[in-house]
Formats: sequence, structure tokens, C-alpha cells
Amino acid sequence: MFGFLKSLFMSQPSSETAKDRLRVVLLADHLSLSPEVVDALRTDLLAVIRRYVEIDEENVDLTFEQREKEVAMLASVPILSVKGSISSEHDSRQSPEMENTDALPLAAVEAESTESTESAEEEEEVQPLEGESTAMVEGRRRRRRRRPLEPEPEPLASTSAGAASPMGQVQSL
Amino acid sequence: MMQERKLDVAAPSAAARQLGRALVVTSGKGGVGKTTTTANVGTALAMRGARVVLVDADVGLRNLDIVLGLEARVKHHVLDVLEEKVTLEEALVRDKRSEHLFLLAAAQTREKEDVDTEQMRLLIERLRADFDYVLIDCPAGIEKGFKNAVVGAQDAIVVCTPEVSAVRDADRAVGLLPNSFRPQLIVNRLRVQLVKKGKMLSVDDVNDILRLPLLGVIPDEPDIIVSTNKGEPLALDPISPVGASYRAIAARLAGEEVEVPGVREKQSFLGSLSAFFGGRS
Repeated sequence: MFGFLKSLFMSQPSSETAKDRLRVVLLADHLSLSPEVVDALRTDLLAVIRRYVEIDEENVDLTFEQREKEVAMLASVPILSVKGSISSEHDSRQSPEMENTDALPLAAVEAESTESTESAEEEEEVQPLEGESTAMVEGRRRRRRRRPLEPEPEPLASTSAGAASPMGQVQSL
Repeated sequence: MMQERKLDVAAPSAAARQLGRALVVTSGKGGVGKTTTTANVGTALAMRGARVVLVDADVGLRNLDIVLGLEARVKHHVLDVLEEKVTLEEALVRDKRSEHLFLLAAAQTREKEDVDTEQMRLLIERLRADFDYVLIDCPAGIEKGFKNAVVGAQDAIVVCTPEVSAVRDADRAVGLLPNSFRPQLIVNRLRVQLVKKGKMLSVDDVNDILRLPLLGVIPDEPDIIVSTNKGEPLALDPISPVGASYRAIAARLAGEEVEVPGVREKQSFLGSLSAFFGGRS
């Protein structure tokens, strides 16, 4: 493959080759000569990545590699966890952000949970409360599985309108 | 401290005249034609009646004098003036042919570190008071010599040949110029036949990368080496296409609109450039 590309490259007029090479080498030169730009790029890049996953920022490696026909940016970003999953270290925090991201994987988890309602994973059986629909019970069971450290949320029936219970928020969606 | 004596050549007093323009002629890469360009553009400006001083800002290597044929007349140099061993008037060498053209030669036996940047800046400012144009021939490189050459200037002329090394170095040099500068490009040693065959970068190729206003294009001609052999700048030669190019550059610097042949489209550029240079390139 490389041989074919190379011969394609070689059949250009040499002035074209010169122009292509200059463009690539100057791109690399400019990147290596302006650390402020590279820093800004890194900051923005990590901010975007953090929207989706938790990362180990101290071990992020961002480099630019000069190749024959291009300059490539190579980013190595260690991922600690997907946002909202059990293994996340942020589970014990009750931030509003976490409340909303709960809703995102719900579709996937719903599919799971219908299969495993009777599984032995549950440490403590969730008992349906008076006035609760099946859906409400399922909701509580799912939340118990994902956040075992949290206290049982109050059932809807016993809360007043406007109380900020987790179930209440999910319901309103 | 600079001496305040006026030059002993007929010139309006410093108070009456406007400050002249100080332009550094730079390239990054060595050997692309900065000195020849400085000598010729300076000569062409003087031919139009402007008062011009050429400053060889190199230290250790002296070139501007020999290209102008003035090597036998140089008695003192820039450092002699900066260190106040002689006055500026004593160090300036008047050109053989152009009465408005003067040279301040480089110090040959010293080193770039010997030049104080602030003193250099003051010297150029002093020269601006007495001349319409101060052209500073910058040494190759981007370290102290470059900095000393740039410090007194308001603007730059970037000389570049259509070769990969020269373009890369020119790009680097442009990046190091003060943000206030609006550098202009001279493409030197263009060989139109090679460009037509795709063997040489065209002016547009070079400038697609450097992106500078184009001041002029100088073709590669045997005339050039003959002129340096003899110490007679081609700007003085009414027949040479190279001389014509340099005179066009001087006219543009003076604010005249002189068209650079067909620089927009490659086809017509090559055609008209070829014709412009008498089809000899």
C-alpha cells in the first residue's frame, strides 16, 4: 500500500511535492512553536471528553506527530468510568447533574432490569408500597441496584407536591 | 550617548524633515539575496532622488560594501559609531555613483554579542532623522544579529527564493517580527522556465504559504553575478530586466502602483512574466 501511494506521490511535479511538504512541515512547526494554542486545545478537548466519561487528567498525554503527508494529533486519555455507572466514584454525591444523567441510560437499564427482576443481585428485596404501581416499584429496584449506598427514596405517595425526591424527578420526565 | 552634529552633506535640518522609514531586509535563511537586494533597492530609491542610507547590520561578516563596489572606501564601521570612536558622519561612505546614497559598514573583527541592542535602536532613529530611507541588511539567522537588525526598524522586506528551506526559514523569521510590522515579500531567483515545467515553486506557491503582500519578483539572471563581480548594482542598468524589477520595487515602496506581472493567475503570470523578462528566464 505504501509503495503504491509513494509512486503516486512521486508522479506529481516536484514543485507540487515541495508545496505539500512545506504545508505539512509548517503546520508542525507552528504547533510546536505556540504552546498557548496547544494548551487551549488540550483544555477544550478534555472538557468535551469529560462530558461523556470520567478521566484521569494527570495522566493525559497529548502529542503531535509529523508524518509524511500530515501532522497527526495523538491523545492518550485514561478513562476511569462512564458517567452514572456503579463503578463511578461520584455515586455517593447527590448532585443535580447526576440526577439528570440517571435518565440517560434508563432505556438500556430498563431492558436489563426486566430480565433480572428476580436476580439474586439485590441485597435487600424491594417491597411494593401501598399505592405504588409496578413501574414505580421497578424504578426503585433499578435505583437500588445502581446506588447501593443511598438510602431508600421516599415513595411518591407520602411526599407532597414539589418535594425533590429522586422518584419524583424521574416521574416528571 | 549619540552626538548631535548634523551631517556635512547638504540636507534639510532634522526639525524640518519628516522621519524617514527604516526597513529591515531579512530572510531567515542565508544566501537568498538580502545584501544584493538591499544594495539594489537602495540604489533604485536613490535614483528617484530619495536620501538613502544602507546599514550592514551583520557583525563579523561584511558584504554590503563589496556588493556596492565601496570596499576600498570603508574606514570605519557601525561599532566604531556605537562606541563613539568616530562620529556617524566620519563613518558614512557616500556611494560612487549615487550622490544620495550612503553606506554604514559592518564591523568585521567583532562579534554579534558586542552590539548593544538599545544603542542600535538609537542609531537607526538618528539615521531616520537625516534620511528618507534607512535600509538595514539583516544577517542570516534569528538570534542576536537578527534582533539587533530589527530593533530600529518600522517594517520589513522579506527576501525568499522558491526553495523549501528558504520558505520554511522565511516563515519562521516572519513569525519573529514585531506584530506592528506589515512585512512585504520579494521572491528572488525565480526561474520561469523551471516553474513552467513544474520543477520550481511559483510565486503563488511561495505566497500561498507565506501570505505576505508581494513587493516584487527578481528573476535569476547571469547579470547578477557579473554586477557583484564588478561592484555595480543592476538597478543602474537600464537594459537589465533585473534592474527593472528593482526599480519597480523602489517605485512600489514609494507608494506607486506598479503591477507585478500577472500575479493572480498562474497561466497569465508565467506568460507575462516571461515576456516582461524578455523571455530569457
